[in-house]
Amino acid sequence: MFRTLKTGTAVAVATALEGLQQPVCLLLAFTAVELTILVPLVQLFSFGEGGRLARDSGLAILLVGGMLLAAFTSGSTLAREIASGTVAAAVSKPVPRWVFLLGKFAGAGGVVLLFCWIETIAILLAERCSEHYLETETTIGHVRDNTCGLLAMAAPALALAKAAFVNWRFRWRFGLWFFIFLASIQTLLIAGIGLLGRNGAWLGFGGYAPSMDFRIVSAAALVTMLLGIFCALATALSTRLQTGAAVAASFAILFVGFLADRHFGGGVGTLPRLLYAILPDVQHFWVVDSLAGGGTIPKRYLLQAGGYALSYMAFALALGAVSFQRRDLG
Amino acid sequence: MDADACNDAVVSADNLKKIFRDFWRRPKKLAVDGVSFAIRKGEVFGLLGPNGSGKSTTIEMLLGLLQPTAGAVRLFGLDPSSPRAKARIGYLPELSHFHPYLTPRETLRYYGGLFDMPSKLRHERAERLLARVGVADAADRPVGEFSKGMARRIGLAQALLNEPDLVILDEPTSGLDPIGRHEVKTLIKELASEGRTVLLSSHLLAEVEDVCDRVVILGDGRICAEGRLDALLKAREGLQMTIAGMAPERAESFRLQMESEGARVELDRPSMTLEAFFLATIERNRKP
Repeated sequence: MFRTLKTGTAVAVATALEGLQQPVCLLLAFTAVELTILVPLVQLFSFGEGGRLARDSGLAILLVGGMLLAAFTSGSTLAREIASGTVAAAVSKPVPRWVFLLGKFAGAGGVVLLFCWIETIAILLAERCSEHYLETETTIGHVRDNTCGLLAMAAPALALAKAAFVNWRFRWRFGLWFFIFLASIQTLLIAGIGLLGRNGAWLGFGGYAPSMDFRIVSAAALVTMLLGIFCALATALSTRLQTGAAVAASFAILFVGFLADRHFGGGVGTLPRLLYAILPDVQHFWVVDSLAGGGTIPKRYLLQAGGYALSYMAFALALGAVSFQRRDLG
Repeated sequence: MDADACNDAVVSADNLKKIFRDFWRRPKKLAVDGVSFAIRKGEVFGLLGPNGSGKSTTIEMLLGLLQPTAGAVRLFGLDPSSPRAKARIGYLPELSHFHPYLTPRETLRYYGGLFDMPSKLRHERAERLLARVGVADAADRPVGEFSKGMARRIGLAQALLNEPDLVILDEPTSGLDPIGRHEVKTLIKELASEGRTVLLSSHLLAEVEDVCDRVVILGDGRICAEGRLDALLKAREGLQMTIAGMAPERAESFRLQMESEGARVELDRPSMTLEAFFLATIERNRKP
């Protein structure tokens, strides 16, 4: 069992390293973060809904960006490696095919998880820097936190510059270190931004106030679970389908999953009930409307959604493992 | 295949058949048809045949990468999908595609991880093999930047990482320059001298002739010829003599004398192979 875990980890680490090196992953992460922060900064009219706009658009960017990233890491990697023969060299080693498949999923999932961490922080910062009504001794009225916005915008650029430097100076790998630097800078920023007020005034440790909508963390966690399902589907489908077909089929399943609750939920007849049982119920993971109404996401709901996501991932990966076991890899 | 051959066989293939099917499961191509052979411990065994003759398909069935349509395979007496069997095999695929963003050092450590090697051993073997296959100087460059020949060398290194009892090399010299080919032949001879079993697939006959003990020749998925190389190549009639230091006039009179006794004699000057000439030239001009 321990040996299986170690070989699976070796596959996962190589997959994650390979994924993080792909220029498309770097571009996606950079664009997603910059776009998320840019939305509240360029709004001319927000009608007091600046925070909501930043939050909703950020979560949408997280979902779409995460799906694209998952498509590149989970969907295309395995199908491409099967076609090129890279997989054949690996599974000729003493690693069971199902372990190899799980390792691939874990590696791709790790890349997506890192992206979700970075993008969730970006959404929190975007919501904070969006226009809010503020009433202090020095400021009364709608204020946009430009200091936070500028710092958040600068983070990816700084990560790029640092990655370029270590690549030039020490030959460290650019893509990998961009992600490491970006995640570190974002984490420091989210922890330290509470030292500043929304109007840019220094509050110090005594007046530390994050001033953020932490409901975003729960909403982003739900989107991350959905992306996990997408990764599992893409990995399972790419054991049999070509790259494009596997990615397209995964997108199609999630799209139909968005409609599943409305069209097949509580349906009568065998087919609607079967479809409702098989398709992932994506609506469980998209709660922006609930947040807009001022609602919060209970921990119990998060746990239930997590259980559902884990079950669905296990189901998809089990099918993928069965399919991969008998797959000709010549 | 006789019973004795099977008993001490490292590899035994019995009546292997592979039909590739299309999307609708209709037969598309009969790639291998009734192939049987056994490879004994310590042999260098050649699988020969033109392109499309079924060599790679046979190897992939031996490794459990392809499911045979019919027939059976045993490696070390075990099922080819068994991790115990796989742990004793080194395999160089026909195409060397590795993770393009990993360096050769990381690639070897990754494959070492699949063998569950301890980190220190993995590191030691990776460094030793990188030097042995001649890519130590490029060990920190991404594999995606490498030429086909360089990638092939990394393929060879990963095939030897676990110090395998059975080394399966599918077109090992493909993409290599003459020096690389010569090094591969030397490597195969070294592996054989260490008592390892080697299965070599190639359509380059000269390299097989130099290293193999026994061969199977495939054509259209079937075995056309099988046996020890020296026995297969031995001419049924005629003798060959190589004479050095004989004056041309004396040689001519020798030929006439032999022909008067009823023999058919051909006189020619021995020539070296182009490969030998190339290697000697490169060696002569190598910078000190």
